[in-house]
Amino acid sequence: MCGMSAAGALYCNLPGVAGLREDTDLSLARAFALSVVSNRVAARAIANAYLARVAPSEAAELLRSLMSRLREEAGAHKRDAARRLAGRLVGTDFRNTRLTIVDGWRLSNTEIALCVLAKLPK
Amino acid sequence: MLVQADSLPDGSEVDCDLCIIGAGAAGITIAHSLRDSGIKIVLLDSGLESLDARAQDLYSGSNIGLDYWPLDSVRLRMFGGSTNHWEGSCNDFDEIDFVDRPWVKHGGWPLTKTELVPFYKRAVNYVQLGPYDFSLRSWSKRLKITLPDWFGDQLIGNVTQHSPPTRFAEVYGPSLRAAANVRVVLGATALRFEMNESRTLGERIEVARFDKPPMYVRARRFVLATGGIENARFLLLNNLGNASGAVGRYFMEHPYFRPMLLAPSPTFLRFIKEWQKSLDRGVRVSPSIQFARTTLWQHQFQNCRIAFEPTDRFTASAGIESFHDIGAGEVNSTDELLYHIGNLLLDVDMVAEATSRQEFGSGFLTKATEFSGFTIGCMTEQLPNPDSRVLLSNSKDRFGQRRVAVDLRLTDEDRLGAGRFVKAMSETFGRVGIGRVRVLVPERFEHWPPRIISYGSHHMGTTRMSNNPKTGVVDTNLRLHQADNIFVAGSSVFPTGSHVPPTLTIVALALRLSDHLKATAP
Repeated sequence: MCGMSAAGALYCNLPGVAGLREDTDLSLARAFALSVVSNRVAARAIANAYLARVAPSEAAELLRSLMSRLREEAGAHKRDAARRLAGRLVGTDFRNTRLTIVDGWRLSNTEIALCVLAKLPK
Repeated sequence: MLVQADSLPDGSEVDCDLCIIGAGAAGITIAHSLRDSGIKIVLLDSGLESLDARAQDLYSGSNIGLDYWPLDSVRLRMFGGSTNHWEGSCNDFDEIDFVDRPWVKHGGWPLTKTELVPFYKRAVNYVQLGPYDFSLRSWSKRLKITLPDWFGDQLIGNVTQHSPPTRFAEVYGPSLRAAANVRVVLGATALRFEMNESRTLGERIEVARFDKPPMYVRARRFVLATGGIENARFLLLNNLGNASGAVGRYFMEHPYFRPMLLAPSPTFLRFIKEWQKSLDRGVRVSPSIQFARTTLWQHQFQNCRIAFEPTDRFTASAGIESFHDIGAGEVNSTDELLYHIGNLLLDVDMVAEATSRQEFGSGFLTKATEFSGFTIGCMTEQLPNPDSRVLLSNSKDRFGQRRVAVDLRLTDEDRLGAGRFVKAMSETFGRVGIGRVRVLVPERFEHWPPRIISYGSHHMGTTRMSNNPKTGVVDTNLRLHQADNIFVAGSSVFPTGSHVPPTLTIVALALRLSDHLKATAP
């Protein structure tokens, strides 16, 4: 499932993911991310910058949070719906100051999570 | 009439009703608005019609506080004063600037904005602006620009109107020359006030000339209008008006810094492009954004306005400034925000990378100048601080008068407020949909590199207005508390400095003073 990339290895070892329906939730989240993020090169740059600075547990928590929210949304992986949903989630993040600083950039936790998910190999 | 002081006979004493010392924006406004009033006016200026090294040298002084511009380059001592190199940006002050804010020590004006509005409405004509209107909403409607829904409780939109810029001597000189009741005397440096015995009335001024012995001007009333630094210097030299100890103190500037980079949303780019088209058509109005009054009050920020400067990848990656027109590259979808940010992250060390790969060919330059967002410029209010001041140095000028020393200081509150403002604005831009912000400076203001901060060349606060003679230098009519017939005009009377250029407010206050002088003429 995880491949040999550093990010894949990271993902396999994320603490706190155990107990969820990993395969389904992860696939859904990844599909969602790929529906929203069209430029994977750019997303990879952001994800790398983020992952280089945080502990794996913190990254895992970020992803769990997004996956948890997605579980409640039907059809989240479908392109147009995914983009609208992403906009809503990002807006909520900013209103609740759920933000992460990546190399000085103030980004919402949802945006970071999308970039990390989009970076992962199939 | 306009004469050179040196052309007057030795020992001349010129008699008038009103002597205005200083022919810059304030002095010329007062003289011009009182022309043909029947009040006999002498308008003195130390300088000549063109820049003269002898006059300009009188502005030399020293900076003994924060790093600041040379005092003889940031001011012009000539007919028209510093309007001869003025850039032309105009705004009125916000209502909150006049109010006593609990977190602003020594704040509050003894006037309200409402009282000043009638004079702002006349002032816009003096500096050749459009209507008295600085609302982004109404200008957007006027120019048929779609206004996004960013504005409400947290953010408000304003505009800056740009004067041509008005060179006051050029525009108003001819009518002053022609006015029967006005005599403009150039090359005339006011040195000493001669006062009555109780030092409550000015009687005449000794005026130095460059190549001749001094002359004198006797007047029923005097207006000192020599600028925010020189007004204080003159009063200190004459030991006048300083019972409160406030002369020279509370020197305020407008710190300007560029702490943030903006990766714009599609909505923002569309909005800015529409404004750019208006500017290209010759409309001299540009948008700016600031926190609403409720936000300022809630977070206790000093006032600050934001302007957006298009930047390129070279600027963004190397921190070197350059400007160019908004380039191509339509942003068609929301995720292109992430595209911009990702590309900028890839280019974090673009210069070093290009050097190592020896790519300084045309390809590098094309890549470097690709439009990559906006640098956010912030002009902020400096909080009034009695220890930020104008003093006299021990060095003397050609007339034997002590030169000026400027000790510009920022307080911890200035620094902390700026840091908190940057954080809050970066989050708000994301929240309302303007874009994503990269903060380029450390969280703690005292760690900001000095090159980040410059100043607006606005000199304010050194003869502040107050109803209480124990805390101010002039009253609400700009009359010295100490002397019944000496007034002060210009930005030196501001108790607080706001976050916008002072020229329009200088002219508005000058018109108010002019009306007062006319209404109370003996």
